[in-house]
Amino acid sequence: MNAEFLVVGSGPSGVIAAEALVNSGKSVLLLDGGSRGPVGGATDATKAFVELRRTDTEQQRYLLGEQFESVALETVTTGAQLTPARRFITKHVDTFLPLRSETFQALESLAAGGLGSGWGLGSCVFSVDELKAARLPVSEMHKAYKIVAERIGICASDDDARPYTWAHIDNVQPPPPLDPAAAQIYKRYIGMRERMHRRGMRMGRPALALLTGEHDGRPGSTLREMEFYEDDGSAWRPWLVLDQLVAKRNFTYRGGFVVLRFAESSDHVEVTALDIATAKLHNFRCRTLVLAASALGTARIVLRSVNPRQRVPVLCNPYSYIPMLVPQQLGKAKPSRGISLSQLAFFDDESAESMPDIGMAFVYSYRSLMLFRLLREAPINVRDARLLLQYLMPALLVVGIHHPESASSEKYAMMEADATSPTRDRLFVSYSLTTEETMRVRRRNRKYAAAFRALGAWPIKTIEMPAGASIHYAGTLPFGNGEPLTLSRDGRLAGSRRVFVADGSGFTYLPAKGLTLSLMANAYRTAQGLCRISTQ
Amino acid sequence: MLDTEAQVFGRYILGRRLDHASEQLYESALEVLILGTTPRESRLIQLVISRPWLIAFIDGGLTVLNRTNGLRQRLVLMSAITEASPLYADLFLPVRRGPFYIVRMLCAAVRAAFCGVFGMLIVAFIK
Repeated sequence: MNAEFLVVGSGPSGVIAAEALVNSGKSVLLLDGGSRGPVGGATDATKAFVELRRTDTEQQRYLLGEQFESVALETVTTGAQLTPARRFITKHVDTFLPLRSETFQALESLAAGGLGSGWGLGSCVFSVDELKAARLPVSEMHKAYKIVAERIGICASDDDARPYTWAHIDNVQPPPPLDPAAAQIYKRYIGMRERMHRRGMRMGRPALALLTGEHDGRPGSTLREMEFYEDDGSAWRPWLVLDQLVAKRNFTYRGGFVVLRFAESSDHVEVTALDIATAKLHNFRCRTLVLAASALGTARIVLRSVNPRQRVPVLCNPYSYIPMLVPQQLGKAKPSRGISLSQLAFFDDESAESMPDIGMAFVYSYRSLMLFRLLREAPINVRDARLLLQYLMPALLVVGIHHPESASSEKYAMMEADATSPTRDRLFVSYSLTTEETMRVRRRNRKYAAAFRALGAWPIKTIEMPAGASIHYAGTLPFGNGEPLTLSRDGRLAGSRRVFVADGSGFTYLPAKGLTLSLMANAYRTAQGLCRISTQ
Repeated sequence: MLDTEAQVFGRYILGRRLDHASEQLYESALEVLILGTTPRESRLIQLVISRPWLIAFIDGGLTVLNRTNGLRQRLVLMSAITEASPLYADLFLPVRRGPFYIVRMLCAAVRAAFCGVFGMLIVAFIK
């Protein structure tokens, strides 16, 4: 027996589940793909982004990449926004997590920390109605939100966004300074707050898993605007927990594996994994298997092990973005320090009679991204576009809109044979919104555009991204009542005694809010349940 | 040949002579990214190298007619390389507005529109 518990995946769900088990004294083995990215030290830590741009002769390395991998010149796909320092997140994915789809562009990860290594840090709690729609236990999740938020450290503000972001969570740190363009529209929002509320719209500072002061031995952000390029410990990343776990006696970490399948017997689970370096198969044995390989990754493992021919549902928030201008900020000076992460959160709450329907928009400034990305898209020649964008940049905001998502028969995944793949198969995903869903998305986009116009920001264009672009995936093994390929409320796979799922595969509804905090809370409560079961 | 191309593109984007390191970086990037060109794209590139005053027009025309054209890709690549150099960083960072910033912006916008319209005609003529 390799361990009492074997956890698959070291993303936010995996590390939180593993930590809860380790802290309860259980022996835990964690398997993941193991790719790591650079940690700090890539740049002069005393200098902020703009100072580095003016002085660092090595900046091409982290801005463009050693192999110019950030200079995407043709089709822009999901993940194109990853900076060179974040490219490790998708390492080995094309080879070991093959996916075929005409309609769905997924971003998956085999990295240590999973997709959490590139998380935008936006943290939200699901409302009671959203939890019920997702079939998550309300009181357990409320308790878990508090514990997880305390663990990772969150900064937030007590404003109109609070009911949607940190609600009943205590002990948050103050938010970082606001970008001037975002500050201007927020000021306007405060002036017309009642009118916005009548439309169901609420704006505030987002809750972010970013420290603005010291917490649990980690430093507060020095506001260098380098969040996209390197980690300094102020932003929560799953590897922070993983590195702490590795120091514990009852925890074993094996990176460099892709878990393929499991076979359950009366007293143990046999797990088969592929060694990425040697392409050889390895078997691991545990009493209980905890899958936290993300909704798509977990679906692959379960389908291979149970029934490869069966379809499973897929949930993914439809995503649109709107670049916009705040004209009064044209050519205005920017403060030299700040953050590149989301500046504001804007909620469109159309919930009615226990039916949740909340849209969420994150407002970003264009502070620490490269201008050439805009030059590529500009409808005029490069030389004049550069001159104009120098004035426009301080006034530019990018609004990303997430829409809530329910399951339908038009959104599903299944395994299919693929002799060219090292796993001998691949995931096929078919995804399309119904006409009604598309209309709802477009209506909400228009509502957001109108609201921003009222707040003094001019929307330039609304871009509906391809399905999968939100990088929010869930619902592949929905919580159910014992039907095949469903989960019980405690995360147990139907028909199994020893296989549990701790990621978002069980969610039967995907709120528009960022789901990472909820993934972690769900992983925590699942692990707590496992501790109770194994103690009995 | 590539060094001439780099110099022409650099001067067009920056309005000044390109340094040697950026020139070499451009050449390396072309190799790494394997930016091939069709015969027509090659002819366009040759044309703008021999007549640099035409670049703004052809670039403007291509943004409307064929945004992913090989010439545009090379111009964007040169923008990326020069943007990531401390020598030229200030040409890509936000500028504070002076008293005539609206006039400067309007001039640039009118010039860009003119280049776009005239450039479309040029691009359409070049087979």
